Amino acid sequence: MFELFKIYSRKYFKDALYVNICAWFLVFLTAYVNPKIDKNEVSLTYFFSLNIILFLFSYPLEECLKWVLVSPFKKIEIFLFNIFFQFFKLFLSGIYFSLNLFFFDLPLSVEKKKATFQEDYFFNQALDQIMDSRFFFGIVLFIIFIIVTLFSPSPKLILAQPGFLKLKWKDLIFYLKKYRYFVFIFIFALPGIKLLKNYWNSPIIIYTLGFTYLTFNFFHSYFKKLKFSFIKKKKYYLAILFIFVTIFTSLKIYSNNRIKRGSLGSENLASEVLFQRSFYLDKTLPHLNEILRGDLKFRTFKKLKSYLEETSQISSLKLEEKIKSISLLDFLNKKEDPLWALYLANKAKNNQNEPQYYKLLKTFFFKNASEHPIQLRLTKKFAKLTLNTVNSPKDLEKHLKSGNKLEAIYTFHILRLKKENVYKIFLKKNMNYFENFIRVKKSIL
Amino acid sequence: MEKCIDVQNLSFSYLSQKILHNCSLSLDKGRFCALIGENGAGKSTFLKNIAGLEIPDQGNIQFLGEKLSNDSIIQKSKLIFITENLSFSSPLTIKKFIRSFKKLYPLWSQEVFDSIVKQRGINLEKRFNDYSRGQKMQILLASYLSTGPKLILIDEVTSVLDIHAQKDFMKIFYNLVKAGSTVILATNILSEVAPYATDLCFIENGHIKFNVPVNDLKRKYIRIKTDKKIEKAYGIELIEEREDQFYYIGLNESLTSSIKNNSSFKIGPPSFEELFLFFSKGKRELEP
Repeated sequence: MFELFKIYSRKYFKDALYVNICAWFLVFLTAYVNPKIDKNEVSLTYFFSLNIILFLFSYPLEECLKWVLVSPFKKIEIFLFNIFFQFFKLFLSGIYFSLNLFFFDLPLSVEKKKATFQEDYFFNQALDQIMDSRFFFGIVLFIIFIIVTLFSPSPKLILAQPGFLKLKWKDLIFYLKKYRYFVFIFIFALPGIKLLKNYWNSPIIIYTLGFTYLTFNFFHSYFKKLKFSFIKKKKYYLAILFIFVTIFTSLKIYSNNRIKRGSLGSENLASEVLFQRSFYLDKTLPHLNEILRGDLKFRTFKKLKSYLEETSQISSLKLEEKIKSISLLDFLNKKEDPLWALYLANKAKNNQNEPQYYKLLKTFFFKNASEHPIQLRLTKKFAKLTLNTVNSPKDLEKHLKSGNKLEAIYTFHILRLKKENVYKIFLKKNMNYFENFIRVKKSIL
Repeated sequence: MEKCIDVQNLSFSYLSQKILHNCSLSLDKGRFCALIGENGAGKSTFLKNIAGLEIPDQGNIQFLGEKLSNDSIIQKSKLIFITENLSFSSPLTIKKFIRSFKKLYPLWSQEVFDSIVKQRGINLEKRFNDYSRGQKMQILLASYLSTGPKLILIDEVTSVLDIHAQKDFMKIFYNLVKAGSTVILATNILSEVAPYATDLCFIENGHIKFNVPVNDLKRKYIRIKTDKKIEKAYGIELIEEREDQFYYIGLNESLTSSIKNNSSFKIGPPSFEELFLFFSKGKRELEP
């Protein structure tokens, strides 16, 4: 292994040096053409794009595989050399990255962007979606997939594998016939036939199967290229099936135990329930009260609601009744998501004569919306939903005098939406105050 | 005598297509076997299965009396496989590369390497990729032949060598065979191997039709060259018509006296090419 390293380390070192010098040269060239560019950001862009290409496609095994396989190397030695060499490449990339930072420093604009929540909102929302329990398992496998890509033969080696892209129908039929009993094992080894009944309900299954195939094929292509003889043995395929069945089952058992422990908050409990939908359809209703009374986030609630409706466990109306049966104070107790205020305001449109209800709701909203990324948009919407709870400008004075930015903006929207003259006069009177928070169009006046 | 290589019932398929069907080949030490067959017959695949570059579906391969394992360093240090697709791509010069390469082989002979390199005029201060295709092949051959191999598998590499290099390396193979090594050379240029081969193995559509000593073949079959076409009834087969000459092959023992005594017929042992044409054209089987 050391001899292999001696033979090929120089190649990668020279390639990496060449690539990074090119990257630095490109930065200076770009800066020369446009002096106003952010050199820090540009340098990182060039660094990552060129080094990732180098990392993935400049790889010694492709050249050395032809002679190492016929030379006195053990397969496991070549396998370990591959891993070791990838670490070496990472280490070298780290050195060049440090040099990059030394020359160009960290991009300042990254710090500025962090302060702008509005721009980050949709990214955060996307990240939340991805981290949702519904996709969690797919993400775990996706990470395995990325790690496998980093430490397996380069992508072009994989793509060049016969059988990866060139599979014909007759090959598939041949293998189905040869391993027909595996097909039956595969179907019945899956956690219950219920799973098949609900597969369209669980994108996680589609992701899981897709990533499972890709992950398996990457490893398998690796073993094929290194000509490990065990890939021709049935025990190998049975072992793979066994591993995946074990992973699925262990996750289910782990998830069950988490729920049984009873120490989960309502948000975590709901996420766990949603995660379990990919495995077995246990009854969720026994946990519903506990879920609704805790720190449940609104978007998790929406997913849970559609899941319960799809599986006919509870209808939308009955769920709303259940929520109404809980006192507002208890319901909002541990919650921090201002979207709940909008939801409840929307549902309670017919109960406009409960001022105490709306007072509590507004307090909740103003307390929690100030941290929200799209607080302005939410405030406008909340104003629309609670328009009829305001009967005179006096109802708005306390909001104006509170000194709270959102309450002021809320007041502004109420005044804008109200048609009566008295509100227009109130608006004009307090315009200077509003202009501290909003850019007011002259046409509104 | 201990067998060098003994392949029994080797089968190999690629996806759903069967490439090799129950192939068997057995060679003693000190044999030079020419592996011939049409393009796509399975010559390269057969050698790759022995070398460990492919995993057979079934079959048993014994090397020097032990089961061949492509993870056994000892066995791999005694077996070499040279194919056109091999390369020593590296930023190192050949000299520096060989310094690491030779450490893998306990039986490495620097004398053999130096003599081949000197004979072929190879400059070791250059890098592998700086050479032409033919020169790269010479470097590979020089490197591997210096490792003291007991079994040499060569897959159609001599075709890229110039005529002088072909002759030189054939002599080197022959010398190794005389010293007790076994060579299996897959080739389409039969004339180059004819003076040296002791055994002929014919492979067709993934089946090994026969593997016999060359002398036995030449005793068994006879070639007739004539300027007139001969009737089939004489028990001989026309294999080629070239420059107004007709070439026939038939079994020696079934040759009639009328042919043997006919002065217009030039009778002699068949060449490898003629045997190849005879067995491949007519899809014939070897007579017992």
